[in-house]
Amino acid sequence: MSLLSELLEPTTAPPQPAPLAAHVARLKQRLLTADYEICLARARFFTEVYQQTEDRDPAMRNALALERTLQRQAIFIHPDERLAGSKTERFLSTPLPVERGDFLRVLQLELDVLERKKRPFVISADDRACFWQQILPYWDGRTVHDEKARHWLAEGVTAPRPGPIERARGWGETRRWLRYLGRDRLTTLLGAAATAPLTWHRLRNLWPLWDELSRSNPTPAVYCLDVQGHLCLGIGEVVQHGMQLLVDRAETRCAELNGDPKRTAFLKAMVISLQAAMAYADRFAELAGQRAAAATEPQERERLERIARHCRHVPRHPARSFHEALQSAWLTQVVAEIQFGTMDVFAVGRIDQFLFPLYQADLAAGTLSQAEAMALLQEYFLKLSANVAPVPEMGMESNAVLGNSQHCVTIGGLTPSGQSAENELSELILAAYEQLGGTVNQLCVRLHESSTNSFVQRACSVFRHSSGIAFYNDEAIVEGLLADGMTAEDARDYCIVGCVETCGHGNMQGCVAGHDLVLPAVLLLSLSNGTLPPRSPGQQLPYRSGDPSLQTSFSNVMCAFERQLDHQVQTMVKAVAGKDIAHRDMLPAPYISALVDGCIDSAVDITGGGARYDFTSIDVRGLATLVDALLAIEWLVFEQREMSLPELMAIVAEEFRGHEPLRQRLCRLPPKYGHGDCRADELTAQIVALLHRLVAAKRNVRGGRYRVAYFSLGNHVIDGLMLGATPDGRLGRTPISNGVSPSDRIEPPHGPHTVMRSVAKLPPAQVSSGIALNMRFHPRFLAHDSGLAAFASLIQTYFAQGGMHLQPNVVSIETLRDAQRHPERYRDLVVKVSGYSACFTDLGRSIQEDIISRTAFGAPQ
Amino acid sequence: MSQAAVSNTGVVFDVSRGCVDDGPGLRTVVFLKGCQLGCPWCQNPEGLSAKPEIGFDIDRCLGCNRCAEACGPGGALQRLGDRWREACKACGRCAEACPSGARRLFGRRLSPEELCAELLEDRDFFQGTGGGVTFSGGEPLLQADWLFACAQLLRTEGVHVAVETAGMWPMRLAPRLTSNVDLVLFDLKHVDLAKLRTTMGRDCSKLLDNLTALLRSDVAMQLRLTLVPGFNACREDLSAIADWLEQQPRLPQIHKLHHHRLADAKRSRLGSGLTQM
Repeated sequence: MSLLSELLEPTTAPPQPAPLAAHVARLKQRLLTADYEICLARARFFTEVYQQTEDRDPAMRNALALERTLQRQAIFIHPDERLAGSKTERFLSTPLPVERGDFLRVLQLELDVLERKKRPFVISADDRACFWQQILPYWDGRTVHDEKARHWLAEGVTAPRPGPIERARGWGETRRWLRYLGRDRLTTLLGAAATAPLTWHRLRNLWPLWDELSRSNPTPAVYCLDVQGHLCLGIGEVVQHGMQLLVDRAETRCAELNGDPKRTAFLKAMVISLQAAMAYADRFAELAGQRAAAATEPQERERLERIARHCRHVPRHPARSFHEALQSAWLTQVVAEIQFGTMDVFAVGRIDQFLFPLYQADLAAGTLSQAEAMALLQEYFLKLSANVAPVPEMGMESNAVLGNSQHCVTIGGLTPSGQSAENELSELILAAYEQLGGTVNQLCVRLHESSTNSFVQRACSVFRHSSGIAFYNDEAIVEGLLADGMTAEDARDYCIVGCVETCGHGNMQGCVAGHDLVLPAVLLLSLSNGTLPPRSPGQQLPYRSGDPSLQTSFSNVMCAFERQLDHQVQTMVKAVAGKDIAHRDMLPAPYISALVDGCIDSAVDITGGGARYDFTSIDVRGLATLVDALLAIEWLVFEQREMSLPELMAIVAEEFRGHEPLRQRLCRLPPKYGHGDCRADELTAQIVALLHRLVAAKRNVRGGRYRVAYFSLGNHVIDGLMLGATPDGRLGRTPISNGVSPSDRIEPPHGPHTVMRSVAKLPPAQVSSGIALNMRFHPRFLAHDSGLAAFASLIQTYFAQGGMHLQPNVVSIETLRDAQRHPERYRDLVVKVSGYSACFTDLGRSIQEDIISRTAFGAPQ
Repeated sequence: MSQAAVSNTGVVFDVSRGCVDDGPGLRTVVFLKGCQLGCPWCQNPEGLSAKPEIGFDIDRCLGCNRCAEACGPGGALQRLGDRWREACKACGRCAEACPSGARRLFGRRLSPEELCAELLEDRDFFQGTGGGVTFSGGEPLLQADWLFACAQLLRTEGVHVAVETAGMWPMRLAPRLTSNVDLVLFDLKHVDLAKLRTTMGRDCSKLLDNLTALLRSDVAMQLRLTLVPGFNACREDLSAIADWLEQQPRLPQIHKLHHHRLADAKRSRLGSGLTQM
């Protein structure tokens, strides 16, 4: 080519991946355009069985209810599917866990406005009537949610039931809380629920929800949701050895126990659940067989016959081919999701490891091509994303609906013996993911010292087309897991669950999510002697950690903060205990226990501590906002001595009204977290060590240790909405910082590496449950191969320094703004929120704005 | 500041960390003040004047008047409207007092040691990513002695040094440039001397002579061509550039860049009267 034509050539864009196979494209289109639906089939069957079995063992009740659902729920094989297995009676819906109670409350509040929600749901008239007439009346007071509330009341986690005087006083506090929130925030948080006319029927249903917020949010700084879940199922075991083996092991163990009633009942329940799962597969085999017999097109008949053949064999027996392995994995997962219900967040684990032998064998035998394998993987990824949660309107500001339950796939990393585990299948999975343009399900890529440059660059190049990948550093994470007491082999075999949480591969009940501590709220409480933010109805009485006017030195401020933090951590531990006891006593999970190593041997359910490893994590939010606020206080009050702490807090409580110059100076001048500042890094280390010290000493009700994680999903946006201004210059209603990322909307850091350097200093043993570092890069960063190489080496350098995690978003503000204006054109634009991946257009406005406001490194200046 | 100290300092208007466009790996770009070209599409107008100056971003101004208080009675900021610029000595007191960063001092005087201490904070990432420091501007070679002193300090510390230049400097500097840096990023504007003269308002033959001299040496080079519609982006212009380049001793890698208009806002902050493209 002549020089002239080279100069005339338009700047070359990175090559686009080949188009998707036609049937995968149709599957993707269907997923992205389907209605969100509510299906009450599971709820009906569970209600029936629980009503009939009130005097039976709770594990047995669960197994029988699961069995009936799997026997009677209508099943489907959708067009274009090569992998069968439906979760509900609708295409895009979720099995609703009525017995847990959390979503029962959501529906109680929002069933009348489902069609008007920010992301509408469809429900049939029959289901609607069934909810009011059968489901709600039976479960009211009988759910785990209700039991948890009773425990909390007894343990003083929430405020005692008020007498007449307290009620009058409480009304004053409630007014203060409502004023603090303000009308516009309340409208945002209630969403569609505030628009429905207040009929008598609605008032009667809403009245009991008056103090509902305190049932998951017992103090302004503590959240404790009803979910357990969030673990890696031993799907690889089922694929390799078959489910029948688990049945045999459970029966053998049962015979050894000589009639210990509790344990025998549990193992019997497990066997019933497993057999129900295998029978569920048989139903698909039968349906596919019937449809194949009726099919006229040879291709269609072949597709259905294959499904029938596979479903007759797996998950009962070991998979014989790559295709069958994916079928086995999917059916095993489907049943687990039906058993657990919405927000299961079950991870699939290291599929490039347990599928590789079959992949290799099929390729060698010529029974599988790479293109076929890719299409199957893509269908599998789409299926993993195909779940919706009817998140309450309040949660819509921070959460996605589609793919709300992230089913992480982990690839790369080390083998249990410490060798490099990257293989051809890992690269094929990257290619499949890239071609799919990402799904809302995230792909976790493990890297280590001996990862090849080509593998790292291959993974990075996916960011040219999708931002659904996150990177994990084996050296740091394994160090943390070893400190938690895992063996070296199990630690090296870790995988990722949910957002960023580290988890054993099919052997851990990690309880890694649903217990959140909001650090900026703890700080505000300690700086206001427990009065700010005001408590919502039912929340615990404030803890007085000390009068701010007596906090005359920075170490005094830190002491008061530590006292308040200690109290909040103790409240959290009590709250989690209440929830765990309710799960253990009322809602064991025999099917899931069968898939987690340790439960058959101990004959104890995962909710009772049967898993080989047992932990609970406290997930901390707003680290940067906390550190920046403390640094701002130190700078202004104790170094510049411009005003006293109470004076500053009075200004902060008034949202800096009339003090904008002061606020701007607080934003710009004091040291900041994530800007490479020594003092900021030192204070961060102090806080992280403090949290670890307070948390690691605690034990959960199963005897497991507590760990700390630093991630926030999208909930830092909700925290921001609920919190007033903070001393770092952040205004009320704006998000607090996410994960371990700096508050870059307050003051952007100087280059991505300064952030990474600060984050890499966090000691893995103190943050072993996981951290989330979100960074946004301008697409220009990756436009050329030199930029790609720099990007890859940037990640490798950060990891060499000890960083644990990174999730980049590579997307420009222009694209995101355009997607807000024309959501229909960007239905498959995938972004990282703060942990999970989501379709950008599916997110609430507040969290969209949060993502847009993040600094774009490499943007033109 | 004593005369000796001043001669030992360079005037830097920005240090931008974490860049990937200006050389290999992750780079810190040091922008030096002063340029003789004055291209109408200049992306860094704050680099034109060789002296420190105050930039004022009216969008960020809170109207708190602290700048005027800091400037003092009889100071430049007591004047009306934009007339303060005529009397401003760029002492930087107003920028220090400004709570919102609306007033900024462009042009810090730094010694090579001060600058390098700041730059070496990022040495870990330079080594990890194969990156380093790029001197840009303005025209960095207008402060040649200071620039080479910095480059030597950095290179003894093992840091890769690149210089981005437009070529308007005395020819005698070429051997010093080639021996003191690892990479030269040459911003080629055009090869048509008549067109250069009408656009820049001065004779630019030095620019092409210097480029030829650099191409005769064996220093690593990259050519960067900013395509500006109406100046060098059409077929005839590119054909002239291609012909000229093909007659040179060697042909380095060429990067095409696209002109963007982000600098318009910067220009208004400096109150400069340059034509807006």
